[in-house]
Amino acid sequence: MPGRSQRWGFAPPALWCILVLAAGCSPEVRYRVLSGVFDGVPPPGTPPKERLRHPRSGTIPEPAPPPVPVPGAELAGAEIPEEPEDLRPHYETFAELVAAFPADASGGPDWVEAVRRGLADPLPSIEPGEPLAPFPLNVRLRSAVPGFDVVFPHAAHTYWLRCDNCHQEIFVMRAGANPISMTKIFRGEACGRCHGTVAFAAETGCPRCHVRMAGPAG
Amino acid sequence: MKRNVWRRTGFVSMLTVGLAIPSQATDPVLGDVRMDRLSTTNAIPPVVFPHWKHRTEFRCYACHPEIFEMRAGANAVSMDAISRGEFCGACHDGHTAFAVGFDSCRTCHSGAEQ
Repeated sequence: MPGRSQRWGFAPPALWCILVLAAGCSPEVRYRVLSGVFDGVPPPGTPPKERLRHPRSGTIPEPAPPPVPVPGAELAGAEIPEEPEDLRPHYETFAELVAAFPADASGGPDWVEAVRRGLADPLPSIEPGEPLAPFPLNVRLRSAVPGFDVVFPHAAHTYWLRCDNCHQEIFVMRAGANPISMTKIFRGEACGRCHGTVAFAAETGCPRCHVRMAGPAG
Repeated sequence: MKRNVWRRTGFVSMLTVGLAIPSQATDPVLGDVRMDRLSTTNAIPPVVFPHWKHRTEFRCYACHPEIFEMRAGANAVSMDAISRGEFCGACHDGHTAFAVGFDSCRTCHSGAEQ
């Protein structure tokens, strides 16, 4: 059976512990002790940091506050260039085009006149760009047969084509250097490279080149 | 190997579906260009290129001679080249004009006779 002094022998160390804990709880001491052991201890007096928590799965994130309208934002939005409205004429079927286009002397669609009237407005390039200026030179091609002289309008051709589409591969740029005949054209040479393949055919379009055949008015 | 077989099967089935869509073939027009360098040998209807339709949108020098040389047979057009953005692919990319794909085969591969 232990004596009374032995029974209360735990009291002095327990008192010491209580004192040390109480002293350690003061901010200054806690800072001094903890900063000796750890890095980044906040000094006494700083407000406690907000604890970062990992978002638990299933928690609904708070909705972001609506953007505060900045004065002049409407003007800034208007500066974005909008796609310009396409007002050019388009044709779904060839029948539609034939109905709209003026007919030439042979009854086919007259593309040159259609462009002049604004019934077609083809773009000069895939990228936005300005068209080339038409080249206004009419070339009179003398015919061996009287009255069959041809007038070649450069202007009507340079609307569609660039100089290097025809020169110098198809036509040498020198007067008299290109002997043209209807035989050649029907073979697909000279004018026949396009006329008869993509442009009005030589078989039916006589008066469009041989201008005297169109009559006095033409 | 097995994966390759599956991809091939998928390609063929898509092609079959694409070709099942009726063509938009119309009466031949002056300027139509029949392109059959590879089509018939691959059991696909040949391409009929409507010059008139493109001429209402672009002048000749938009495409000639940079994209297409102006001579029959001078342009080795293939679907691979088109998907690389060459030839028709310069415009038919889904932005300037409709994209080339399995839902638009018969728009070009109309197989119309000239």
